Amino acid sequence: MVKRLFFAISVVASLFIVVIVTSGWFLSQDLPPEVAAGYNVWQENGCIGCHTLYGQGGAFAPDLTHIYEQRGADYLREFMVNPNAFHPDQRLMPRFGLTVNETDNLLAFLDWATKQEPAVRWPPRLIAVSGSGSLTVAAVPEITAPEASPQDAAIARGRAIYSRAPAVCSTCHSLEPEVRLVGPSLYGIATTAAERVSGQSAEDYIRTSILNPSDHIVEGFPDAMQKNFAETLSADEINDLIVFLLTQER
Amino acid sequence: MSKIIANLLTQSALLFIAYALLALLGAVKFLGNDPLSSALPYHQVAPWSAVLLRLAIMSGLLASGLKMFADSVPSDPLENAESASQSARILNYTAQGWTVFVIVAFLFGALGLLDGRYGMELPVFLSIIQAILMALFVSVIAINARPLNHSLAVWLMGMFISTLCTFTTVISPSDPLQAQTVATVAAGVNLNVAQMIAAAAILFWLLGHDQSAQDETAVYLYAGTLAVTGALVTLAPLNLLSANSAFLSVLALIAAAGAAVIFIRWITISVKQAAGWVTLAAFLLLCGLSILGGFSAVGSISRWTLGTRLSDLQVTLISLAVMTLVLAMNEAYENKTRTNRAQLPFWLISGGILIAGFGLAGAGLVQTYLERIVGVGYLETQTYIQPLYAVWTLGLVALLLGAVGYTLSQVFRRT
Repeated sequence: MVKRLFFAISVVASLFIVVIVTSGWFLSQDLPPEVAAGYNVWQENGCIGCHTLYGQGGAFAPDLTHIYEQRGADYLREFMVNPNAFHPDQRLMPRFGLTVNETDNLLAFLDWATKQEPAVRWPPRLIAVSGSGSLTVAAVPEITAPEASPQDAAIARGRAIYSRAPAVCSTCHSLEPEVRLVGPSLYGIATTAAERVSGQSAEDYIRTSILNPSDHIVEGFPDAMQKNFAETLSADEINDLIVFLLTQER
Repeated sequence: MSKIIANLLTQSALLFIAYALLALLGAVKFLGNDPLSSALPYHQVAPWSAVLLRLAIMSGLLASGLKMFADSVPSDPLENAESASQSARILNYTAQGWTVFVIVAFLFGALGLLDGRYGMELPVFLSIIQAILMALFVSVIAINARPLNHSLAVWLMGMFISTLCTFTTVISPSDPLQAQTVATVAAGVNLNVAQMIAAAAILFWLLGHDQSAQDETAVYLYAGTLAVTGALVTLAPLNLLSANSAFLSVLALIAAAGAAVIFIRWITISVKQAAGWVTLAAFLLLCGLSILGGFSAVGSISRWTLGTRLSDLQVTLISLAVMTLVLAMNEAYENKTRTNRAQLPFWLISGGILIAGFGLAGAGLVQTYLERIVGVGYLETQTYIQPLYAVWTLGLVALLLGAVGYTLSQVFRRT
């Protein structure tokens, strides 16, 4: 009798614990229509089959809990149009052929997901989303406008180097504030670089960071930056990249 | 009734082969460029294989319950009284309905028509049909099982909870957080609590521990502690996201350790009776629920490992533990005290699970360290752990070969 009682109590207690702990999660909240529509797009296309959200789901592709704040809407919109252009030699995301409206709704859902309670608590350290390969961001302007001044042309070339192979700085560094990819955000780098090392100009600091990344490791980040830009970029390209980065003021 | 049991066990074995094949196809996609990335994308393969494994397990659990039920009385319990023959008719129709349901579910997976709900991929109407069929199976056994021995009583409790969980999956809230909670609770309780309880019953029945009062104590204690551990493992992903989980973490570790100790205590009494399959299942339960499950229920650990391959490993191990018990039941279909007859498939499946488990565990540990602690990007980390994915794939090749060999050996044995 005692053993049967133990078994019955164990089973009932197990189910009771599950119900009590999860009861708070069953409180309903009103979703904005575009978020609800985005959630439908998410479900209909089986996104959870490959991606995780709040750590749950398929493990074939990155967790998307913080993807909206990490990448921003423009990048994600571009990515969903042509995912193959971003990581050509790695795992490929199928093209789902979403309409503009569906893409906007999906982005609204991802933005909403980033702001929910579970995203505040998890993960303990932001999971970096990055990858190699060329980045063909449509927002990058053409660099040979005939009427551009030499300075403007250098900035445009630098911006292109920032976003395209072989450097593809944008893979690891965001230009948005507080957006952490692999390396620190370069938002306001022109201002920050000037203050970082006493007696060193912003231009020198940035040049050193490109050519000898280990000399300036920002606290909380690994020494993981490529150290071969002196070989992969020409002197002119490095100068153009620096000119572009010096436009990034707070 | 023996024909129904045999059919369900055959279905289970065939579904297991299909699962092993799809799991292998899914694993290959982790190794690099995949020629089937468009024709058979991962988000179709993964849910399909998950559904097939769940159906293989469920077919096997139902067959196991029927076998325990049939063995609990001297003659076929459904061939005597008038009410019993009515039950026999219901059981026949239910078994036929189950076969049709399994075929339809398989086709839904093949056509990419499964739902985008993690852990609850079957469309709602198929979940309702599954729950009704399970309820019919369980009701027929519960009504006709006189006397009710303790293994069968524990099995009935497990299957009752499993049926409830299957019904719960029809709830599809519009709020994504609610939906994720429902999926986690329904799928988690089904696997970690209900199926663990049913597995405990089958395990002790196969060991021959279903006669004495001491055996009765063992099965109730073991199933009870498994239920508590399973509930806490289920809560791990939600718990760490919502509240301080220190108390529940300690409770989970105690329950997990208790389940391990109780089981080791009882299995060593008459381990000679345990066939290789039973020992393998017991080992997988120990690793999957007591060790990995216990640790994953500790919030300060699972916050780092959630969503890595370690989470997958835990679910895979306990699913395969239950599946192995079903294979054991299939082996013991005619005589439960006989040892393994299909030696090669046994070693292929055992080796496959252990090699695949080793690869997945290594991948999970490296992923946790690089991606979560060091801060290396997701795709870079995946590149680093490709050799471990190759080990995982190798294990799944052995598992597939073993599953095919096992099924062929069963077919030859019965014909």
